[in-house]
Amino acid sequence: MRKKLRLVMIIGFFVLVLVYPLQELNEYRLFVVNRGLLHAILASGLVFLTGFAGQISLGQAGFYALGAYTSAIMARDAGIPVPLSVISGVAVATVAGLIVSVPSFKLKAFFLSLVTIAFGLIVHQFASNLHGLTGGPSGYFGVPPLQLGGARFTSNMHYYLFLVLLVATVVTMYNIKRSYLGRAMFAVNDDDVAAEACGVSSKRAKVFAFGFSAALAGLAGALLAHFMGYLTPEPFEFFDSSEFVGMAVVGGLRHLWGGVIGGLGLTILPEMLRLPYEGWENYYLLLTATVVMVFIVFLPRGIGDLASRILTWLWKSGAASHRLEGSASNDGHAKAGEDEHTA
Amino acid sequence: MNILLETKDLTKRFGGIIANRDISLTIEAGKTTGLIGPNGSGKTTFINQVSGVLPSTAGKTYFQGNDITTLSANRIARLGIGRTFQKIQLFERLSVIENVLVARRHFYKANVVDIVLNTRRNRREEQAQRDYAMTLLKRFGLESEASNQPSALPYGKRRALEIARALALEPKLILLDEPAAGMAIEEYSGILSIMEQLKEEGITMLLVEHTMEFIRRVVDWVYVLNFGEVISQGGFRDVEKDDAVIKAYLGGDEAL
Repeated sequence: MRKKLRLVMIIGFFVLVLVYPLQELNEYRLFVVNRGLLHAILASGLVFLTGFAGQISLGQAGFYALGAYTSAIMARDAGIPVPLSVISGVAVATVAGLIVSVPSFKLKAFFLSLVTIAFGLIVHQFASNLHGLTGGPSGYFGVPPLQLGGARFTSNMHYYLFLVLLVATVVTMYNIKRSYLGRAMFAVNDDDVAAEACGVSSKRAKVFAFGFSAALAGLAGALLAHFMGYLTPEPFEFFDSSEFVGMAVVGGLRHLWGGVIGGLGLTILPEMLRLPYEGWENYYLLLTATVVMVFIVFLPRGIGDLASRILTWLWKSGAASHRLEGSASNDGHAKAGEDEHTA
Repeated sequence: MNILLETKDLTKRFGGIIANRDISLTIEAGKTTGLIGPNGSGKTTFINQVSGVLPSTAGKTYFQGNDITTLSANRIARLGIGRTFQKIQLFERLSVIENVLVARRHFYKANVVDIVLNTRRNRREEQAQRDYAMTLLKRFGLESEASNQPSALPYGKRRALEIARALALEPKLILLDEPAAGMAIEEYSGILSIMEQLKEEGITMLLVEHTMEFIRRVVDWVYVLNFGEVISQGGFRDVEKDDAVIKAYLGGDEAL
């Protein structure tokens, strides 16, 4: 019974995810979900960096901006095809991540977060002040859109592309997590001295974690540029960096799906709280922040942890009833054997 | 005599305090060398210096004739020096078998692409390494705990797991920092028999220990440290009777 329920839940979930954009008539809502998917990719990078490798970045918006502006400039001003410009955006963000990882060799927690904050602020300053390159605060317009067969991507196509990339991100993280690379990162996170004594270079683990998380932020940024069609320095502020950390924490830092849940959840939630009451428009962000605080206080391991515990419970109780049946039949078998023996 | 490790005037200063002064000692291949001395005499500092956890202020360390003084700890481990810690340092977020697998890292050949795509090569290699780790765990009676968290293990088994993890490096030399600390005889007899096995296999060990009964049974040669200096060396029986050693342990002239 439970097994069937589980199957129905899984299939239902996939159908829902695949069908969602087709039945969504509200273009703005789909836009928000698409932004949420990009945030999910970015927040997954933070789950990787902080939850797996134990490093902190409060400057993730810096990598996000580097990916976005690099891809936009390469596509519009250098004229290279959009898929290649996206790759160049990822590459620049990754290199920046590798460089930012260097202070993490010596610095921990509070001091490391200060360095990453500074990095984020520096990138934001460049985005705001290099008018010739980025257009400054007035914006960078005319970013070439993603295209398929000569036609611009529709909202639905963006949705499916972002979804595929998000799934690829989670699968990649899963494969790394269970490999020797993942174990090395967990080991460094737990006890870097013992990890070193096991032949694991803590520096290499940190460089890898920063590079990977920066690559994901760069990917999200590059996609954002072509999705929006224009860029301003506004989504790359310190506030955004801290919000990304909030997404990873609320979703669950140690959970593979933490970034997905947090990234989508914290992007969609404020929009859902925009209730149609007069004067309320000033307060919905306040309510969002309150909800986030409640989650962090009561679910410090994140929603991902809660969700996986509920799912394991469903799974286990299903398996348990199955096992009971199995042992009952075994008993019967043993009894029969005994009878045979006595006979 | 085949010397595996040699230190020359190895010194460690913490600010104005000299933890170890001009320690010159040799560890013979295949032998078990003891390092004893009162609390605070510099034994753990010495292990930390040799294993690269603490940089040395002066002096040199040679392993198989090569200068390893300034190498990083992970490099030294990969060269073949495993170690355990005075206060057990396991990876609590990893399972028992994964703790062992961490030390197998440099035996893997799969690259990032293999890992991300989970290629056949990656799966086969992972299975081979898991089998290796399982054989090691069996040896320590830990095979039934393989997928448990180390925090679920009793103290003696946590010690054993730390030694198993160090052995997973396939080291030539193991530095054991008080493997029997906090254990009664019946508890450490398991570790004792493991050490006797290792010795038969030709693995060289440096043993820091306070439990004299333990030392007496396994060591071939003993160095005695006091206030960061070697005050005596020799076979256990000779060192035991050395006046300088007795004085260091009991303190003051009146003890003589």
